[in-house]
Parts: sequence; structure tokens; C-alpha cells
Amino acid sequence: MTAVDVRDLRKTFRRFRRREGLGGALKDLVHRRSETIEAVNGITFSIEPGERVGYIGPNGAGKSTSVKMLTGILTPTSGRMQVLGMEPFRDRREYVQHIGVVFGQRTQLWWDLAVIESFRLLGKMYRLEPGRLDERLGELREILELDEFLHTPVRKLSLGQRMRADLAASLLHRPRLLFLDEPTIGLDLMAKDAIRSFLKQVNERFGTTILLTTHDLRDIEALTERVLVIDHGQLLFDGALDLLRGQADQESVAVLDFLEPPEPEALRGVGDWVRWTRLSSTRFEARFSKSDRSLARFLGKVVADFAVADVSLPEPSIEEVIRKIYQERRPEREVMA
Amino acid sequence: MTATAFAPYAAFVRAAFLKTLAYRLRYYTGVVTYLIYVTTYYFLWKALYAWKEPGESMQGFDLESMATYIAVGWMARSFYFNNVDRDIADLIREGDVAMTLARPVSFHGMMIADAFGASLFRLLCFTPPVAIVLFLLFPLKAPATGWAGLAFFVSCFLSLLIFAHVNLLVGMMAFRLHSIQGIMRAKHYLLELLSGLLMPVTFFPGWLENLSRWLPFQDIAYLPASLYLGRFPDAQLWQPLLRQSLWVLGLGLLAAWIWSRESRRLTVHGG
Repeated sequence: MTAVDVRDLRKTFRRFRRREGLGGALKDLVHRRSETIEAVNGITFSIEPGERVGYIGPNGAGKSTSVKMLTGILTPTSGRMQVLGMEPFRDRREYVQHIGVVFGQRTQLWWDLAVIESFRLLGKMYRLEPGRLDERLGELREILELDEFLHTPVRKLSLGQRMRADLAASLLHRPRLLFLDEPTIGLDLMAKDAIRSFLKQVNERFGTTILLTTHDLRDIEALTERVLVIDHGQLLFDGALDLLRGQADQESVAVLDFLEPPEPEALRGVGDWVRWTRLSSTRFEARFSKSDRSLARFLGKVVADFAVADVSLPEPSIEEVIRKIYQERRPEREVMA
Repeated sequence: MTATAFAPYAAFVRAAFLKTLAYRLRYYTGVVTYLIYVTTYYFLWKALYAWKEPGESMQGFDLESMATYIAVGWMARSFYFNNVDRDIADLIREGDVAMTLARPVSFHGMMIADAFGASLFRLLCFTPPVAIVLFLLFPLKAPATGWAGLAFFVSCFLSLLIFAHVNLLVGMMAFRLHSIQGIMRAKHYLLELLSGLLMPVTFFPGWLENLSRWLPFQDIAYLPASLYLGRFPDAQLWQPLLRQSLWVLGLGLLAAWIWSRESRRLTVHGG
């Protein structure tokens, strides 16, 4: 059975537009103008059990709104949504027993209670027998290093500790599907690594399906096999991470350090198929379309004509790949920062 | 519903108790605040009764009964009070309502259980010092009869449920309106008046007293204090308690109906 099956999902909001200035405010008192925002505009995808899927897109792309619909918090305006065989909003109370939710910017723990009290409370809420709760905690406490703060009130935890506690909380009832909305936001590199490897373990050991939204593309690289790219409420890409990377590989990039500043005229002499960007007086970036011999031809010519101190060939970052997809699919619109 | 169906809510009651315990210092200043309120109203009424012969009554209250009415009303409030409306408004404003809904429990049950847990804390740690201070400082009457005292105690629990449901209904307005600061303030003052906290409803102008009979508010403060003072004969105590229970049921059904309609409108702020 498919874990997540989403067909033509839409969510529109009505937002009131405020007019500017005092006059505008007075006009708004009498008549408010509203506009309809299409936050999610016809998305279709499905996820198989055990998959690890990354859900990415710029701010305001509709990621969070779709996650909130998938977790049963918001109602879709239209479309069909079957998750674990249930309709998230309609069957909310039954449905949320089978999913785990972590929102990086919020906590599901009780701010003023010790972490262990929150876990006990969640255990009661998910109707776990006390023995079962201890057993699950036993599994989690070591890999998440929970012991150091189990008896500390949540408000006194560091962000990294809080995130570990929140992850544990979301897994106590052994959900089949785990939604993570920016689980590594604000964490330092070590903490990020710990969270990533933990999530991978959870997925491999328990077969938990993972859907993850993030702005940190290293999360995606470390964790997911498949990527959904969304912008302006629409799905732009759905496929393997390698395939996504491949899309940007149509262009080669080389960064060159020269021993002395090169003549612009001489750089142009390499060929009109190369685009140069000046990074500093002796450092230049070259871009040209990828073909069988283009890189060899380029390097041969440059090394022959110039005194080159260093050459590096940076991998295209996924960020760049995504930017390219946005530009290709939606040339008329600016990419939102 | 079976006992296990209630287990999560019992856990909420416990958590609310512990949560309130973390802020117990706040309640020590609360005792002083309550004392100031009761003192103010006591001297206000004393000044009004100065126009009367000693022992003469107004609307069936002599000065001693009136002082007791006011003090008992505030004692009861020290138990049944909660901020469910503000809590919901905060959940909406901060977007934390998302986390609340990710739990396999009813929102309605969760909010009421929360209020109940906080009130249990108040009953153990806040109401006793308030009561002791008031009894020491003012000439207050004991409950009219043992049964009247018991009915008062039961009635306070029903007051808690009515008060919490009124707040729940006000709080749910935030689903649509987003900011309900003004409404909460208006509700606060309206409730102080209409519940009978400031004065017995028998002091209201005729039309308002009649209107109050058809509203749940007077059962929050006027009813428990009236039970305490023995304004109902022992044999008929069950009648007002039954009416109060029916209000709890009615408000509960109304809240459930509004939730089923309005939760669809919910928007969640923030990423």
C-alpha cells in the first residue's frame, strides 16, 4: 500500500489587502479588499512505505502549507489526499496516532515540565502501556543522548538538546510516517550531523517513511534518495537526487587562479564558447556547456596560454540546481528569496 | 466512553497541575490582589449600608450577608478562574496550534482538562490562603447549613466548567478573527457583572435580571454564593445544581458544534 497518495491537492487562502497610509486605513474600515492566495496549486505525488523524501522550495513556496495538510492540521480546498489509507483532516484523531510530527521552530513538549514528564504525558496520550514507554525510551536514550537532560525543564534546554528531545517525542509511539519541517534549523554542524544520522537509523531500523522539508541542502544530500521541488504552489521536480543534480550538469564550471592578472583580451581569445566572470584580479570563473571534449579542450588551451597557479572544478550545489529549475520553468517570475 | 478513553485527559489534568506549580510564586501576589478587591467592595457596600438601619437589608441582603456574598464570590473565583481564551488566542497567534492538533486528542477535551488541572492546583495552593485571610479580616458567615456548604462546593466545580466553556467559545473566535484582545477584555468586564461577582443579580434593573435568568453567566458566581448563604432550602438544593449542570452540557455541545464548523477555517501562522 502506498504511504502517501496526493492527487491535485489545492489550498487557497483569502487575505485582506491593507491600503497604505491613513486614507487607505480609513477606506479599509468601510470596505476591505481581499485577494485569493493559491498557496498550494494542484500537487500530485505519491510516496511508498520506507522512502526518505526531501521536500524543498524557497520560502513561501507552499511547503509548510502542504505539510500542514498532510498532517491533518489544515483542510485542503480541493483534491484527494490518502495517507496511510486515511484522510488526514477528517480522521485526524485516529490518523495522528500513526504519524510523528517535528516542526523545527516549535516544540511539542511542555515548556515548563521536565522532559521525562512530557514523554510520560505523550505516552498516556498515545495510550502506550508504561512498560512499552520505558522500552521505547530505552531504545532512544542512547542514540539521542537523552540522559543528560531527561530531568531538565524544556525551557532550559539548548536548541540541539530540545531538537533531540522533540525527535524522541515524535517517535515514542513508533509512527509509520514521520514529517519533519526544518528539523536542523539553527543547529550547529555537529548537532546537524547527529540528527541526520539518527533519522537515517530510524528509517533503516523501523522502516519509518520520512518526509522532510528543509532549507539546508546538506540535509537532503545526507538523508534523502528522492526530492520533490515545489515553487509557487506547484511541483517542479519529482525524482532521484542524482537526476536533479544531472539537470545542472549541462554546464561545466572551472575556477582558475592565475599567477598574474590576465589580459581580458587574452581571456576572450580562449574561445567565444567560454563565459568568464572576474572573482578577483587573478581569480576567474569560466562556464561553458558540457560536451565530451569541452573540458579537455578548455584546460589544454588555458594551461598553454597562461601561467595558471591553480584550477578547481566545483560540483554544482543543489541550491544552484534548484535555482536553474526555477528559472527554466518560470522565466517570467522572479525567484523569491 | 471507557476509562481508557479518559486516560489522556487525566494526563492533561496532571500536566496542567505541574505546569501551574512551576509558577506558584505568582499566586502569592494573587492573594494580595484578591484581598484588595474584597476590601474595596466591602467598604463600598459598607458605605451604602450606612444609609440603612443596623441589620436592615437590601434585596434580601444585610451588610453581613453582603460581605459574605462578596468574599465567598472571590474565594470561588480563586478556584474556578482560568485563561482558556487567552491560551487559545496565543496558540493561534504563535502558530503553536499546529502542535496541539498533531496530538491524538480532542482540542475541546484538552482545553477543558487544562483548565481543570490548573484549578485543582488553585484549590490546593491558592484558595486556602485567600479564604484564611478573608475570614480573619472580615466578619463573614459560615455556610448556612452543612448541605448548603456541600452544594456550594459542588457548584464551584460546575462554575469552573461553565467559566472554562465560555472562555473556550471566546477563544475559538480567534480562528476567524485572529486577534481577540478587545473581545477578551469586553468579556472580562461583562462576566464580572453578569456572573454576579460585583453584586447579586437581584440588584440588577428588572430587565437585566430577567435576561440573566436565560443566560449561563449568573450560575458562575451568583449561584454558588447564594447556595452558601442558604438562599435555597436544603430540600431544593438539587434544582439549581441540575440547572447548572444543564448549562455545562449545553455549552459543551455548543462548543463541540462550533469546533466542528470553525476548525476548518483555521490558519496556522508562521513557517
